[in-house]
Amino acid sequence: MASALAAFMALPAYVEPARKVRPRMPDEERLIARAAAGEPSAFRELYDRHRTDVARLVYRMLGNRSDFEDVIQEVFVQVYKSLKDFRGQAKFSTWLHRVTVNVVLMHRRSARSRPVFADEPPGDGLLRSDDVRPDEDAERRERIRAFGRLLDRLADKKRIVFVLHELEGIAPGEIARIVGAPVLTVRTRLFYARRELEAMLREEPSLAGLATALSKGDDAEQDT
Amino acid sequence: MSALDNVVREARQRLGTEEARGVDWDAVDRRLFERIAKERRVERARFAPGGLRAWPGVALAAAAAVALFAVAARDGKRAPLLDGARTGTDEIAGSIVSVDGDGQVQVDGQAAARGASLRVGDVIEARGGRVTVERAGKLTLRIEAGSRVIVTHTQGTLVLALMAGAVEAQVVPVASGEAFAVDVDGARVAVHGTHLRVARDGQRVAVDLSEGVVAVGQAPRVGSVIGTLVTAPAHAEFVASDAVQTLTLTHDPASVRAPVALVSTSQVRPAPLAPPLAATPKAEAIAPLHVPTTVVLGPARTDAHTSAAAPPAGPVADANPDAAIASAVRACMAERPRAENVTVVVRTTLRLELGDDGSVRAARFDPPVAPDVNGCAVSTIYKAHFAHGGSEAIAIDFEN
Repeated sequence: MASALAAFMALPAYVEPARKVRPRMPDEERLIARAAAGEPSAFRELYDRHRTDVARLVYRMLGNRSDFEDVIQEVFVQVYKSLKDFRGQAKFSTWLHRVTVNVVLMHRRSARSRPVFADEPPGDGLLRSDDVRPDEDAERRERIRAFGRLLDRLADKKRIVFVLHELEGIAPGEIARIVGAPVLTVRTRLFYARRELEAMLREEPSLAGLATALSKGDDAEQDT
Repeated sequence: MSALDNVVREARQRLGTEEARGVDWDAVDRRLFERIAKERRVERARFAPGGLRAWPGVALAAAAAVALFAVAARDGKRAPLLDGARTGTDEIAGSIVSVDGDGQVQVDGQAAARGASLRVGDVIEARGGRVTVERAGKLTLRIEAGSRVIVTHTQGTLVLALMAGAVEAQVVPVASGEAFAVDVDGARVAVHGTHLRVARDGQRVAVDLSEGVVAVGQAPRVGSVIGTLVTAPAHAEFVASDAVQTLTLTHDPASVRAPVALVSTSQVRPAPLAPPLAATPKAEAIAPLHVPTTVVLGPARTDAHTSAAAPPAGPVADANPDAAIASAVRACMAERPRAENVTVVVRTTLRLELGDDGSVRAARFDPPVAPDVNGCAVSTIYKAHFAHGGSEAIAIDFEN
């Protein structure tokens, strides 16, 4: 416990990932206002702008599930219903993340009581990169899938903050607004999420090799 | 850089990225905007005043009455996970079990078919025929000829917006919350379990209650109705735009329209809060309803002459009903969850309308108390019998 506390106290050294900043579109505020007022074309445009980001976030928090598209749809239904309550006190992206997180949590909660078809093999429609060999591509996919399985083993609260921070590049302060928790709580969840993932990483066969290789690489760099 | 950081760096670029691009957006778009179109219809039905008040062929009428009291938290007691965004699922409102009048009943412009499921946003129009809907184990509902109804809420409570005509329902009692509600513009008739009929003619609304208890008040955006509790047998009328101030009640069984037998495939238990209408004629086919020719505007009240006509037989009065009720209400307040080191002080007055036989006809907390306290105390209140009729006010103080 003491060592965990000491490690947590050392958290200021935590590396902030580079934030992918979406340039604020000059007409976005007007677009939001028009959509909130019930203008269908404005809502449609708002949806077109954000649907891919929402889909990616849903996938990261939910994993590979057969009802993935249903959840995306549900997010935008809730956006439609709640948009009139958006007062502009927070950034729209923060608010949208909040809606998405709520829908995903609700969905996971209700899905626990029914069987799901998870972790299905990727379909043929997935885009492939031309600059990697097929075996490299397959290995990478397997690593990503394995990492997704690890994420799924985290408790909801930890997984959400981890995904938002580490994968989406959102700062803890903004995550605090999204999940409605103090910044310190967010940072605590991040700390424990990382610690659990590191432990799980060593146990996951498809990632253990990578972890070992990467550790050796790190050691070799330090030796030189 | 740790192994985790390396995996995360890769996942940041790739996890979910391809899957997001690979979504069948045509299918998502189509389903999403169909649902949004339905949401728009629901919003219009719930909040647009005066909707289709000139819709033709409307029968006015009314039937039964039942009380209202408990108004407990709806949609489950689970608080939102995080505030700021509502979530929900597309729960089925019920299934059509019979349609009378070929092609005369439509759902969303299509001929209604037996077995079809109804969902939020569905518009049911019974032009020449009528349709019976069952929500398995919860209620059986008849939408009468000349009616137009929109399904506006299905999670937990089934809520219908009555645009024209009349609906009659047999509702299985629920332990807490509201099982069924009918909105007429801004007004709501909400029930725990009962047999009731709600009819409108323009802004005028009539409710006939043959079993149980209903609540009549303004439709809340969320939660349960805080309004006047009405116990069966009762005939209530009000103006939709101001249900609270225009509500009139009579408990004369002769004023209450005979209920239509709504046979359910599931067991329908009798409503626990009030006895069935004593002199209820045998259920019969739909017929023009008895409706008073005028709706008296004014505060909710019970007509003295009709109260005098109430059945004379009555149970023996309780020894000290005031104390029993006050004790039960305090116990309900004490059961409410609260944080430690917090002192809760409640001062309210329970105002009762009593029948000539001393039974409780209507009850209202002034000021209102929490809905779950209402729900908890309702059975004790309506089981009480006083040695006199008229009214009673019970002051209740609570401090934990």
